[in-house]
Amino acid sequence: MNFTCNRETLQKYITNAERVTGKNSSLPILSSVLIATNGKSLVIRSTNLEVGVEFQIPAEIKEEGSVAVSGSLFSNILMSIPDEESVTVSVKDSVCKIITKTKNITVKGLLPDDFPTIPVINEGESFTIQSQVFIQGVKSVLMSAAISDIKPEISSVYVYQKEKSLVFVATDSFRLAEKKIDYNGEELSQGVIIPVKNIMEIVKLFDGVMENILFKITKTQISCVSKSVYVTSRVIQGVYPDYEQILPKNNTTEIVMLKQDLINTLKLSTLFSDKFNKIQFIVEPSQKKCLVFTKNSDIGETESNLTVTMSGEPIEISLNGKHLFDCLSVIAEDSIVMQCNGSNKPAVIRGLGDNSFVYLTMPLTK
Amino acid sequence: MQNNAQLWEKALFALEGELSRANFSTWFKNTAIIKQDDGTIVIGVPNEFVKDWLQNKFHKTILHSLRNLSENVRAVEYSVCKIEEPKTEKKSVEAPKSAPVAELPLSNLYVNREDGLNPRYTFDDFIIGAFNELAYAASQAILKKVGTNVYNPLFIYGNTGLGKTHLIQAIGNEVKKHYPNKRVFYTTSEKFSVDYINSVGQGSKAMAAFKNKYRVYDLLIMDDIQFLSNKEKTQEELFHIFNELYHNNKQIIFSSDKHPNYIPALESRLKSRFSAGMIVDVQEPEYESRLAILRAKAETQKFFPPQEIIEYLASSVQGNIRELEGLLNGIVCQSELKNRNLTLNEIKPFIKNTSKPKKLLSVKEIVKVISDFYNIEESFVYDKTRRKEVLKPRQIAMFILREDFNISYPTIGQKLGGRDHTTVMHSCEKVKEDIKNDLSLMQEVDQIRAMF
Repeated sequence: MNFTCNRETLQKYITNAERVTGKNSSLPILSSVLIATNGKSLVIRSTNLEVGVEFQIPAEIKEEGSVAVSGSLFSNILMSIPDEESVTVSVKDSVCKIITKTKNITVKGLLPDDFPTIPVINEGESFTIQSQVFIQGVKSVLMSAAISDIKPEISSVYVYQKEKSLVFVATDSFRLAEKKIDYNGEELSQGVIIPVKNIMEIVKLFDGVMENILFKITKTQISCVSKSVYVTSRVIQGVYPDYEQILPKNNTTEIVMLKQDLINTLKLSTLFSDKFNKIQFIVEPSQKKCLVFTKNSDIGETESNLTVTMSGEPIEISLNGKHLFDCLSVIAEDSIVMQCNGSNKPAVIRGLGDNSFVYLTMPLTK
Repeated sequence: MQNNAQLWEKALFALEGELSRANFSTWFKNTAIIKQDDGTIVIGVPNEFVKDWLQNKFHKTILHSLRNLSENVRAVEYSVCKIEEPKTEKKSVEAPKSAPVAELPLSNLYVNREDGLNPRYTFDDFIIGAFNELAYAASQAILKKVGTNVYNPLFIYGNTGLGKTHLIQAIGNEVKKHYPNKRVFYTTSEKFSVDYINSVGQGSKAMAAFKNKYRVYDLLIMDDIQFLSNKEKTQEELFHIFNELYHNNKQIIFSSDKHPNYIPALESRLKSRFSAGMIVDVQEPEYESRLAILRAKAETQKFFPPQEIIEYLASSVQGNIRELEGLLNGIVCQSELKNRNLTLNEIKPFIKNTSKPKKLLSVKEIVKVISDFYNIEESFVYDKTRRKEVLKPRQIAMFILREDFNISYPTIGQKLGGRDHTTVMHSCEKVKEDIKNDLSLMQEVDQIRAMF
């Protein structure tokens, strides 16, 4: 194999590919990336057996062939020669020679035959969506997904179609985020549950790209195809909880406040919160009072008065400060609405006037 | 034929020798034989990556090693599926108890949108006793031959809280597991009729979609069919769907709280169709079953009360399983509060409060309750009068005395104003018949019964 390619382009894609290599696999070939020629372009492929990715990049191909090389080594090499404009790579007997104007580097490769294949989906349902819209949908809910793998179905992001929107949901069973984005494509008969780690990789790969992505889903796999990238991931074969039943339909107390006000107050208050990030809200609409209170027996305590408009019954509710911060960072509006149904029922937070995003958080008991 | 686990274990042992360790552990982790069918072996793999690789790279090796072990192996297929890892000691991974965090109530909402089944209901935790033996046997027969068996349709009836829903959902889940190609659908009659009403409102396209939706299933399970009474059009639609499915040898399962003949305002053509297959009832569990149920429930809660308490509970609480469960939960809660096991004496008042004992009533008291209900003078019941407003309460009194209190016909006649025992028999028969066709009469009788 022999090809010449722009160094910057090659580095970008090798680095991207390197991220989805198997990091601590006993099989050395999984930590490498496959570089192969395909007509007039170069194919870079990697997988950790959870996610598989394949890039097509333009290159000047002089001789066909393929090789598997250590992903981290190759990307480090390319990063360490920033002055070079282009590199020429030639491979013979799995030995990879990287030649630039001033440098000659030889890297030992592995037999490309042992490199895993990446599943290609030909059946199932498909839909197309603009990459940034998709990323926005995922990022709005990502923080709420469970981290541990004990319950794989909630350590995931659930995507399904409902009427004229595509709905993204994530929950760790203490809080839940739901984001709807406009959608007017094919009807999808079923949703898809994508493991949170995998969907994070997908989002990273499409970050900064403005293209339409074609998604194909089956019961076991999802693939995302754009002009130059093919990503595929395992999906969870399970049941996502019918969470819509716990979304409160009405409320007894409603508080509207400026987002920045709450952020500032929370920043101060969390300095004093205990290990559960407990932040207590005391709301008394009749006296126009909304107090935010935190206490840590080792450090001290704070009490702040928030300027808000409110209605409904008085309430005392303790919420997890971290959960609040997480949702505030994805709300774009300047004002937020907090709705409560009593001190032991989940509180609902959304941007004022925005019905596409809902955030539910469970209060802490006393 | 060797069983799946053994065969695969031997095959893996052979494969381990042929492949490098890294290769072996990467590609064969979490795999299993999930089905042997006529020489075709289906290997379950955790994801598509592994499926591709085994198919392309190791297919020959795998086939070879399986052939060495079992001669009739002709083909090997691969299928991505969830493989349950061997159950090792369950480590408690719950959050520390001191954490003052309540969870969102999601745990009960794991209902599969596609088939409506709750995966929580399985046969693993289904307790079989004399009270539900027959229903269980019928369900097992269905599992052997879905659709083409004499138990089609299967109609299960029994009072609330006796495990009907558990049983029929478990059938659905089991069918799904063993026959991945069969389409299963679980619904309640209420959801079915809402679905129907919605489709009526949305024009002919929605109607056609509704008609087609239910006809594609290989197994249709409909719960609480008694709520279809008085919904004539929904019944008609069910009738057509039933015929369609039945003629194509699709399995149908119904549940209800009454025998189909006693469901009021149900079309007779539906009744006769329900009776075409198998009708089984689930009764109230007897002592031994109650004991087994309590033990199993206590185990799942990691709560181990002394033997005598379980026995006492089982003997003193009759009636449905849900009540048993409620009582047990109460006791678990109490002993967690007190941080020790409760004694028998502490439990006794607890049971007294929650269960309602059957009072011993005299005929006079019963007659008083019934005449009060119908707002007539008590003495009229004993009189010879045949006025209509008296006749009905008197007949109902006879019916209830006979059915619920097991008093003999002659005694009833004698106590209610010296009547002949044949009069009493006629009255009981008449009420029994009328109940079948008269919803309001049935409600009246139910209301009266609730007062005892």
